[in-house]
Amino acid sequence: MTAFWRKLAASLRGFSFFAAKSERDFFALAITGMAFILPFTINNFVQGRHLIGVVTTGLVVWFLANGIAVYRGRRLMPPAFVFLPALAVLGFALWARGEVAIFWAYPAILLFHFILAQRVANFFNAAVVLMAVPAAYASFGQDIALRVAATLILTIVFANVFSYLIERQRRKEAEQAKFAADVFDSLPIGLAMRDLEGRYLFVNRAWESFTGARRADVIGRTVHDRAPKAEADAVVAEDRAVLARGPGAAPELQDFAFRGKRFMLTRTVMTNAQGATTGVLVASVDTTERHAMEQALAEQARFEERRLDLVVRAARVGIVDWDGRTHATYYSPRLRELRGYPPDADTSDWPDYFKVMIHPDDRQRVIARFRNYILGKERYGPQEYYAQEEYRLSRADGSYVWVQAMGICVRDESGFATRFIAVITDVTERRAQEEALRESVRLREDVERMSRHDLKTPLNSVIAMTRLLRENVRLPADDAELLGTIERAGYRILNMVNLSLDLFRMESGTYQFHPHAVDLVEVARKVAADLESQAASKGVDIRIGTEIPAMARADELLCYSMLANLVKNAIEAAPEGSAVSVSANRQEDWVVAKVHNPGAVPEAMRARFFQKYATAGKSAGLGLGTYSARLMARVQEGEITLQTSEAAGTSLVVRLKAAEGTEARAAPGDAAKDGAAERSGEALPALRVLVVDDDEFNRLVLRRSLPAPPLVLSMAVNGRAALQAAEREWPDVVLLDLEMPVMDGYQAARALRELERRESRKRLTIVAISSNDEAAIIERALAAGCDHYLVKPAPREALWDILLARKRDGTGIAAEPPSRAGDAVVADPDLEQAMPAFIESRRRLLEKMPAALKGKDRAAFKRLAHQLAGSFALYGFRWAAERCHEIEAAAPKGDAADLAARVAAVREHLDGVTIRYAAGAENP
Amino acid sequence: MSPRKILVVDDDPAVLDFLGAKLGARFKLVATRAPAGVVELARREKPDLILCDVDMPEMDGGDVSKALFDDEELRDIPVLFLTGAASPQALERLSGQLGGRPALSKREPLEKLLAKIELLLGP
Repeated sequence: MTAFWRKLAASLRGFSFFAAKSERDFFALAITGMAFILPFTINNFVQGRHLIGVVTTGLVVWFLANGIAVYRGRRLMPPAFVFLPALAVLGFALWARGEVAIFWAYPAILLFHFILAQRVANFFNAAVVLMAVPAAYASFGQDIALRVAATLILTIVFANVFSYLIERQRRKEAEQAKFAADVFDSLPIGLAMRDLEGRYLFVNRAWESFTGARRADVIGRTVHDRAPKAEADAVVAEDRAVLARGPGAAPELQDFAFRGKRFMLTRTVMTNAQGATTGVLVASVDTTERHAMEQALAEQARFEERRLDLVVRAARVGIVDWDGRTHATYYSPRLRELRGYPPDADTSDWPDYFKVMIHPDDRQRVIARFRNYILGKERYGPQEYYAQEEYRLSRADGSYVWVQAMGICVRDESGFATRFIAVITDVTERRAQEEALRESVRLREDVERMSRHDLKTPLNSVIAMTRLLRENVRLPADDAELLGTIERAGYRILNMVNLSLDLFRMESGTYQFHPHAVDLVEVARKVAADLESQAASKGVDIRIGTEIPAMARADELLCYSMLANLVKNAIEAAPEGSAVSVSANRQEDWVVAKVHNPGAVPEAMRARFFQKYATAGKSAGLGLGTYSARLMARVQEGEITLQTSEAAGTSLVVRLKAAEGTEARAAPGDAAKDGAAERSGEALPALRVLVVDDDEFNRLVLRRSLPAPPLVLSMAVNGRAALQAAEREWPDVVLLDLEMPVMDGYQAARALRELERRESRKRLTIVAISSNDEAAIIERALAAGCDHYLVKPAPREALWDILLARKRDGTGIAAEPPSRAGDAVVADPDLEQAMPAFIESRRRLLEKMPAALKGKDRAAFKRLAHQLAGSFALYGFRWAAERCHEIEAAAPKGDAADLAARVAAVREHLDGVTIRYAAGAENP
Repeated sequence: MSPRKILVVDDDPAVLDFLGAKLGARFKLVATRAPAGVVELARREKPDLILCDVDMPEMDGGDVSKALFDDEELRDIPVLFLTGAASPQALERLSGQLGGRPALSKREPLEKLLAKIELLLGP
């Protein structure tokens, strides 16, 4: 039984209808029930029905006690227990007053249904029916009892239907309320609604997290209950202000700081369905982070501005801010100063920057570039950055200041610069310094070059004179040997001067590298042989560590100098009695040569080992050895590196590109020497030779090296004297110095050619003789009309070759002047028709050459070159024929890239050459 | 006297064109680019002189010269080598001879070629 009651109590507690009723409602119901039954109770006493009177009075007292208990916040028993006595009283009444009590069964049923849970109510209802129907049978008989039963059951059914409908409606409302509450809780916006008295009606979860208050603690309470007075007063004042404006006013956004956070909030006046104002809804968003970010950005912008300002001030740069559309220009105070105005000068009347302020000599250049820039028509399209340029800007006093300008621009969608900001710097001082520096470098270079050349002239005399003496004068053997020593010493100095000239060219980047296949092992062997005695004197052994040839793409003379320098240094650095080892090996695409000695380079020297004039503990030597060696390696597209340590000694590692071929090139000049030797027995012809030189020693040397007779020699001290001499007596050959006072060699050569042409003289052979071997100088001499160019000291063989050639041409027809790529081709008129086909077919042959070269078919390549050389010669393409002939000669072993370049040069010549047709063209 | 006939052998048509242009007026020219066919052509054409390139693929001037020399009928036809391989100076050192036959550099002026041809053809 207890289980039943517990279950009953639980179902009642959880039961919605009852639970939904507040305690106060239940109290009211108890009082009402008591007040309704009380008159009938009194009536029972008045009618003398004392027993039932007492029983109903007990029920009234029971109701009253329960009501008072509920009012005091306590409950005497579960609500259902209130009704058990009611049921008992009804039962007693039925027993005592049968027929009349039956009418009480109807309100009892309804009362149970209103107050109790449906199931419990039906349980009580059943009890009521079970008591009322037998009572009706006993009092009125079967007919009335059936009707009572039917009406009671009908009442119960209606009550059940009514209960069900109310319950369904209530559930729906509860669902809606929960949904609305969930939605509000899910919002990141804090929501709180207060009624007109400032009591909280509703808050959501976001609001809880913002304020830290719990909804259970605030609902039904006022702001003052929750917050400190000052804060609460402010909130209430705001609420009142909004309520005063009334509903429908547009909500105002308010920035609100609260407990270290920032919020954005709105207040809205809420009304109910009838339009009555119900309270204020406050919606708030946490803007703390966004606010912090904005603050940071603003701070950063301020900082950037200050930094820019600092940079501008520190760099003392002027700013020009130009509007591309209106051409309005802002000039910064510093720019005003640059132009010689006070920093606060009014610039509104300043003229156009580009058209007026820029120096007339710079204006066109600057405007042209700027126009292209702003229109986005630069080579690589619209650019943001305007790279620096220098020009002169006018100043207030009419002078000009050199400035450097660079800038950036903003472009519209068509690429046009709508705004351009330039930074203008005063560079007057820097330019002056640079100019001074350039001037001093130029001066130094001039002095160096002049001194080298000037050194060569007397040196040539020394060498030549000694040789003349040795050859022409019968001397005792000892003296002849002494003279030989002088001559060799002279050559050594000359070689040093020449090397230093080469170094100078390498330094200035004008050295021309002509690569060949060079066997570094062979070079190392030569170096070892030449330095043997030097090494022996120190007890140092030179070992060559490799036997297999290592072919590098290099220049043999440079390789020799380079290795000789390194080996010489190694011998000096090697401890006495140790060994210097030299090796060269191919490593993939490189040939790596190594010069090793057991000594270590001192720590202090290592960093500047390859620097010019760096020496360590050497009495002799300029410190040029390693410097020039590295220079030579770099000129040959290679590198030298140093590896040194106390333990392993010192290794200098030379890396040069490996050559494609496998055989060494014959030493240059061998063939020429053979040819000269062959012809040296030939007798010189009787030719008129005019020697033109301002240096009396040179004249002497030439006079002594040219036998007269058979030659007839005459002398001139400069170009003008030479012309006069030639007019008096027309020579066959002129030996012409280039650098002479009054009239130099170039002028003289041109004048002689002019004279030759004007007076139809016999063709002269003009030989330029100079100590300068620069390509530009040689070219200039040939352009002036010289046929040959000899570098001092001109070997006698070379001179004799020229004179002998003159003889072989017999009738005084000189050797053809050297041809040049730009020369017009003079062809036979008979060939005019065949020419287009000829050129076309040569082009096709030339096109085949790169492929042959790439396919490593050197034989085919050579054959093509040969064919071209022969046919070009026949058709009068002298220059092309000579080049093709050279290509043919170099074909088997030459460097592929070099050969390809030469082929390309011929091709270019063929494409651009002018062809003239003249009878007897082949015979100059 | 009818113009004399010269058989010209060169693998480069440009050379044949040149000789055609320069010698065509004075001599009757028969030209071929195929050295292998020279003997047969010479038998048919019976030239007074054969002008032959030296450096040719397949069959070079030396081979042509030998083939002509080996033929009873053709042995006496004079052959002049015209070569681009040797410079005038180099040939001069060789006394103007290559393999026992007269030779001339292509770089020599035309006059020299004409003089040499006249010399070989005789009066």
